[in-house]
Amino acid sequence: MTTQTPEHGPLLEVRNLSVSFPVPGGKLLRIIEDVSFSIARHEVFSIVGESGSGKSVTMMAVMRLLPEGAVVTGQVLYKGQDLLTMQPETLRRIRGSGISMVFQEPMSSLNPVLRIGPQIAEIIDIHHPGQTDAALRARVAELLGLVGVPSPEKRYDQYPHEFSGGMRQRVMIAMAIANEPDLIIADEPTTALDVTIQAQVMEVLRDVRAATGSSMVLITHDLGLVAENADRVAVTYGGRLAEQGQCRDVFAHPAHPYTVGLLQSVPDWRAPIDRELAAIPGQPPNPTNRPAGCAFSTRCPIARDSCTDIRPELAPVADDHMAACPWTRPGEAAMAPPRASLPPRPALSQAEDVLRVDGLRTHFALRTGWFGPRSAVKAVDGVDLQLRRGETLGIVGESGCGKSTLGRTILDLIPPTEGRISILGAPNGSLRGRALRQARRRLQVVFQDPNSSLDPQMSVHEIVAEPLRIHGDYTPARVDELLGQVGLDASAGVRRPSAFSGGQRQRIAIARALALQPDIMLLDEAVSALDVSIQAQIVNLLMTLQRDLGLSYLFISHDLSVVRHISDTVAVMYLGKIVEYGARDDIFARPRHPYTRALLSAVPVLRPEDGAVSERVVLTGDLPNPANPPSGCVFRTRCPVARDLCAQKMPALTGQADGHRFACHFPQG
Amino acid sequence: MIGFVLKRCLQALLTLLGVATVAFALSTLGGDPATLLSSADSTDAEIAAIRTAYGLDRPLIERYTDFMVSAAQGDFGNSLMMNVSATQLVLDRLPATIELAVTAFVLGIGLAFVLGLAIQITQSRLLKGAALTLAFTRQAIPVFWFGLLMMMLFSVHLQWLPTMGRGTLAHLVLPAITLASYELGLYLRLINAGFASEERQEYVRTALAKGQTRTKIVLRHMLPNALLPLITVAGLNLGHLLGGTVVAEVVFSWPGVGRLLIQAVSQRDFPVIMACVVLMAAIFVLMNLIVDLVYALVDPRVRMK
Repeated sequence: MTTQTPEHGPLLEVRNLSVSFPVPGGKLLRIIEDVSFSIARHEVFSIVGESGSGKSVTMMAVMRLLPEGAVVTGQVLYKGQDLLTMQPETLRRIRGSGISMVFQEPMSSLNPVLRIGPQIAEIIDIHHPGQTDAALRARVAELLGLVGVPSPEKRYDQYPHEFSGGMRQRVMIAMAIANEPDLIIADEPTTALDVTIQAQVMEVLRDVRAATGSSMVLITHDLGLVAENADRVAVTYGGRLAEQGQCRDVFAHPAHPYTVGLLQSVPDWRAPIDRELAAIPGQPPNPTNRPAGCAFSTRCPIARDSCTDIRPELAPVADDHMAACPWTRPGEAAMAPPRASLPPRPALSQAEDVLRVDGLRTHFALRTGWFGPRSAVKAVDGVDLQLRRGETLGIVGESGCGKSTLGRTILDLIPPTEGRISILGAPNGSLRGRALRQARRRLQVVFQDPNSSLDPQMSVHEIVAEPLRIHGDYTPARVDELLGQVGLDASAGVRRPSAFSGGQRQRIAIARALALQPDIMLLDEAVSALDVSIQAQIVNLLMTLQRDLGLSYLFISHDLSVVRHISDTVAVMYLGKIVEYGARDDIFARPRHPYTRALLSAVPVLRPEDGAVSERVVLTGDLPNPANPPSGCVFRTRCPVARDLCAQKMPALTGQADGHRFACHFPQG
Repeated sequence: MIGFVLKRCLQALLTLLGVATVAFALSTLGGDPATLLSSADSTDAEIAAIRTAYGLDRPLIERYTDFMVSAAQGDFGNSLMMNVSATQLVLDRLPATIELAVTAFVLGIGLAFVLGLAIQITQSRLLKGAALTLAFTRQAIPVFWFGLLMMMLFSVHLQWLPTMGRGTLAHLVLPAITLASYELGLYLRLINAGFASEERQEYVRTALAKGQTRTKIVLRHMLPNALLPLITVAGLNLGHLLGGTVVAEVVFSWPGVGRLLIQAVSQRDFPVIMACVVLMAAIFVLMNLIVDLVYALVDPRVRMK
């Protein structure tokens, strides 16, 4: 590097950073306001916050990577030099060499038409030009090996689309460490990945940091990930820092009411299930309607009148621990209101089955090439399950495990290849015409993304009214009643979905699903796209509705913490099959299948003592190609305890008298 | 890849079959050629004789089968007007059309490329504004009018270039510029739109974060991606041009396929019309095939499928 500064003092110091974006009408909209922090050498500094809190924009501003037009003020001192005012050419030499970045979307962050090897070689060539092709190739292969990409020599000449998500992120990391930078900025590096792959990638990041001694900025919304990886943490809210300090202090003794609320919103692995999650009420502010004073004042349990006018500054509450709240009394009970307990439910054991699935298979025909052999992707391959009235059955698994296909097949959106689906005793195919239409009322669905599942051209009233009109049950009062049930005002009806935040849109989707008074609701990743404080609100709403209306839920999710909180029974899926099935506590406290154990251990936990499985099992490799699954047990290629037998024979889903079943020749525990 | 090529070739063949059938259908629906061939005072007997002479009195199916079999061999019969092979007539005109079309195409796309890259690398708003304004202005003027203006200026007033016909390089200049300037505008806008959408892609941000220079980001990273949509349009457009640059050929009396087609249409010379139409379709289908293959070469994701 061209800079020479004392080895002491912070590596990167951000002083009073503010960012504004131009908006139509020639005005500037303040996105980031007066943010200051510093990062020491070798330290992992985490910026944590919900979407729209400005965490990514902050670091983009630091690297001057914001789109043209953004107005950035303040200072960003890297080894004493201000990145914001330096010549573009000087900055260019620091990018990729002194400070490198890993982005969230590993697919779109790599150039789709260039081979992987040259894309990594490029970053070396930019900063250390003049190396021979052979030397570059050898170094790239070494880097790929270092980040755990198998057969690096062969992979060098492949394209990004030939890599899985986890492998692409390893490539991004290989790029980021190629020039042994002082600082790696990782912007939601594992958000797009499955939890077992996330564990692999975080392990790679830890290893390369240990090898190079670089500092890291970890930008994330996942508090567990912060707890497990960061030395220090800054909590962002509404474009400002709410709190910062040593990670351990902040998590153990949160001082800002927002941090308290955020930490409490995360489903607690130990908390009794009969209580609501501690949601933060209200909606997060967006930059156009932030209060003049404290951005959190509208949702804060201890706010006073002055909070809406006077902007609090970060002030020390302890050694190396600051919070932007003048009223904070760390540990004060008022900041953590007691959680309401949920009304009791009738015992499930006598309840009738509302849904039965027997031997269900959903295969997709696949042909490789024009004259190629026919094969099939066995998305769902022999699934049995029962759902009782008033019960929540959680279906968990990583992407590609077939959980969504299972849901869609049950909804009759995809025809089953084989097997029986009985809804309230009526098997699939037995109904036609009017009877079928009536039967469909019994099963309703809420999808993951309320942005695309609600028609943007329709008013909220019309959206909720549509199923009622189809069945001839429409009255305006019924729509208002439904909106009330999901916590929206009847006046919301005249507006369009775009006027609402993500959590409110999901409430609208739930109101629409409730309209026909179904018995069963299929919730397909229904809370996965929401921020944790809003997610808690929706989970509470769902649990209350279930108790009030006697609903049965099929809750499909990859988020194990939420599944644990909401489910009575849990099915774990892997490559189209259920590998373990049982009561919630069987799965979470006494998992027997090695995959379930690995999955549970991979979840980053906020409180280390929470983990169900004390030792982390990091699975090797990726999910096998579903069109060509392994022989015998489909999990054996990644299984830490697989033996010869596993390659020969598929274990049956068998188990104990209490209903806890698992498909493994060598069950654990 | 071989399967992919075979499949595309089969599709191309089917398309040609369809075009030939439609052309034949139009020739039977579009009026009676026998009446047209006869003079105004011909008797019914004379017209009937013409009908027999040209085989127009035979059943439709028979005529269709004959037509398709001959067409497959490149034979569309003799021109009704000139009594020479229609296919030969078209092939004689083809070099002139290719000369004009290829010149205009290369000139237009080449200049658009140079300008487009210059705009991206310099990021000059002035250059971009000026180039796009000129492109829009030119595209707003119809080819025949622009051609006439060029002729007025360079042939009539300045007397630098001939007004019509084909022969020397000087003859080529005006029609080629007339067409190329239109093409230039089209491609320049496409290239700019392509770059604008690539500019927002995350791999560009990755390249910036690597410390790459603007020039190399444009050339190495954005260009191959921005080219993809251009390949489709350029290929189809070249097919269009080769099928006869009708208006320009008429304005500058350029002896190409387009002008031949116009003459044939006005005289209801069906063998010539059909030869022209089928040839144009063949060129168009061929260009489509080439576009698909080039696409597969450039984009690894397409190659995989």
